[in-house]
Amino acid sequence: MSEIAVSVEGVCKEFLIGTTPRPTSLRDEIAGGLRNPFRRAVDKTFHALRDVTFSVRQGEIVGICGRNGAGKSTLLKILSRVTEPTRGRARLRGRVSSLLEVGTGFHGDLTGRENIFLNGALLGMRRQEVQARLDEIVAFSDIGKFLDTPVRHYSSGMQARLGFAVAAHLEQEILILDEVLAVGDANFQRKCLERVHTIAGGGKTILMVSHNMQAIERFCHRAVLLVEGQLRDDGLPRGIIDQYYADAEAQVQTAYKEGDEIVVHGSRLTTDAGPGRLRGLIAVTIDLECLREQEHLHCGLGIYNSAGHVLASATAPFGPLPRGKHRLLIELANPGLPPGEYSLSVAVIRRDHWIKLFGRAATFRIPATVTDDPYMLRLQDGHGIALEVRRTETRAPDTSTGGVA
Amino acid sequence: MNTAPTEIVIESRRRPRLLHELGEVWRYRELLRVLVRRDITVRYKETWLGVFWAVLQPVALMTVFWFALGRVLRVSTGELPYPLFVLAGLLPWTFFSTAISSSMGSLVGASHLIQKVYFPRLIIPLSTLGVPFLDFAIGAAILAAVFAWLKLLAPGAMLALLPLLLIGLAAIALGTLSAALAASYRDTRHMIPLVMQVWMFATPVFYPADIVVESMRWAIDFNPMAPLIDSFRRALVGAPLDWAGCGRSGFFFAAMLWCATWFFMRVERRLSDTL
Repeated sequence: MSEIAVSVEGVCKEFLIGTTPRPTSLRDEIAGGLRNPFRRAVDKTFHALRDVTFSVRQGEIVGICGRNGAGKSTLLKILSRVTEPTRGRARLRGRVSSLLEVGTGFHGDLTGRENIFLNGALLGMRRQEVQARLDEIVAFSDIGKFLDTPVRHYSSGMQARLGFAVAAHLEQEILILDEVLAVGDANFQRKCLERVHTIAGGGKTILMVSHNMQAIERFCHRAVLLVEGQLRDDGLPRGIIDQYYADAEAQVQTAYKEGDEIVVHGSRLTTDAGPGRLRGLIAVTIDLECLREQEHLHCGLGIYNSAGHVLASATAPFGPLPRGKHRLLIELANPGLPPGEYSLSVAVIRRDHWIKLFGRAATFRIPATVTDDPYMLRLQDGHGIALEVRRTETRAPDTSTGGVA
Repeated sequence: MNTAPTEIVIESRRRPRLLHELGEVWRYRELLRVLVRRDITVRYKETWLGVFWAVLQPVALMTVFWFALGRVLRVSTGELPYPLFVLAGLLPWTFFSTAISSSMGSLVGASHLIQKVYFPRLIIPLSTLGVPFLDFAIGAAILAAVFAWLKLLAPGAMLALLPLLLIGLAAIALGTLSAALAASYRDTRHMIPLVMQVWMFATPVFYPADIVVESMRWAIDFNPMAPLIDSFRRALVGAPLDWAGCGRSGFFFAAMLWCATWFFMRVERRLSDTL
């Protein structure tokens, strides 16, 4: 557990973005060269990663958290050697198997078996090594009798299972996974996570990106948080996840203006169990200014699950508001949502005009309640709302109704 | 397995490391094998007439030239009947030109792989040579059988392998170059087929080199493909090979391969960001 398997030292990645597009035709290159023979076109640079430094010990499972665009995927691409860092370096001790996308390189016309060997070769494995693992791969991916059917007849779930199975059963020392667990059903996700755990138990090192914070909390030994390309924090998953939510808890500071009627100065979501964690109450605060007196104003609120389906919604009416600044407060009771991750959208509605405040950027989660009851613990693990049991009864067999034992 | 795992260092490299890259290609030879197999399987899996298609193209071209040059213009090809003469030139040429056109689009076609997995990118254009080579081998086997049947096949016909090897070298060199060019400049797609067309006419594929008028000799003399195609055909009927010409061409294409690989590696560095 002590040896360093992955060390990332001051890695930066810059992209040139578009004021002048890269010359893609000879004509442009020649014309550009003639126009400014001594000057290179100045582009804007976008810093996808800024001076990221951390290391991972052998046998550790490290989660990489961050919002969309924080640089997670770029970091994994650099570690998988798909793209080069602009500055800095990374050292990897051992062979790397990276799964940036499930089923990369699958060819629809080839059979499952042929694709297993193709995928293994893409990950740098020799034929004998793949052959030795073939039975395990087939068993894990559960494709059974379809092994010799062309992959294009597979369901997307089968393709995902096969892709994961190949990467997760090869003899590599380091495994890199990017949001791989987003595909497949809940059952398969659990199987993948268990496999990840087993692999790490065997002394292999795993780096994973996931938006599934529960998975990160349960399976990672450590996590790092990326914010706008910078490494914000590095530590135990629990603390990192709290920070991630605190970061995600939307706080809209820019002013929104709707015609010449209303200006929204800011809005904020607070939850009652620490940053981004909810037990009973969600509070939304909206600071706005009415440029004219408003007779009616509504706030629309919606709670979405992580798959993007709306689960609950409400409109909160506000009475006549005189000209001037106001702070609107709305408290919502937890409608009995099971533990999990949710996002909230808020909009201010004036007649038919909507000012969207959070989009669905504000996320919160309902943590699993701490309990000693082992059955209760299992229930909270993705089994939905805990039903209230009113009465139980045990009856003797074969007797008609009424015979209460 | 390995007690001391190898360390991989990832950093920005200004200068391509040619030897390191070739070592990587060797380490990933299994991938090369699998990709070649994939292309061949896919090509022959669902077309019953796979072999037929492989042979059809040179045969169709041969028929056209046979009518145009053999029957109408009556070009003399000595003791070798004109259709066989053309076919013996068209087969290696078709291998060369299809190898280049399929390598050309290979990097762009494999962009989904390049964005997601590491492997030495040289594997991609190299792997596309498998199908044209197989097509050639089938055609050549049929051609050799016909030659043998007509008692035209020379006992030393195996010498044809030498110019063939050099044609392979040329295909790899130009394939690598055109793949890298096509990934950098869109124009390549229009330019290369044109170049190949002009090049075929400047090469003694469907006419013997010795009928070229003196004022146009330079086109043959400076054409590195000319001695290779010519020698391939000469070896089949037992005529003396153009050793000096083959040597010059071999040297030329080896140098070209070196430059092409170097250029390819420069393009490769930023490939996943630009494709």
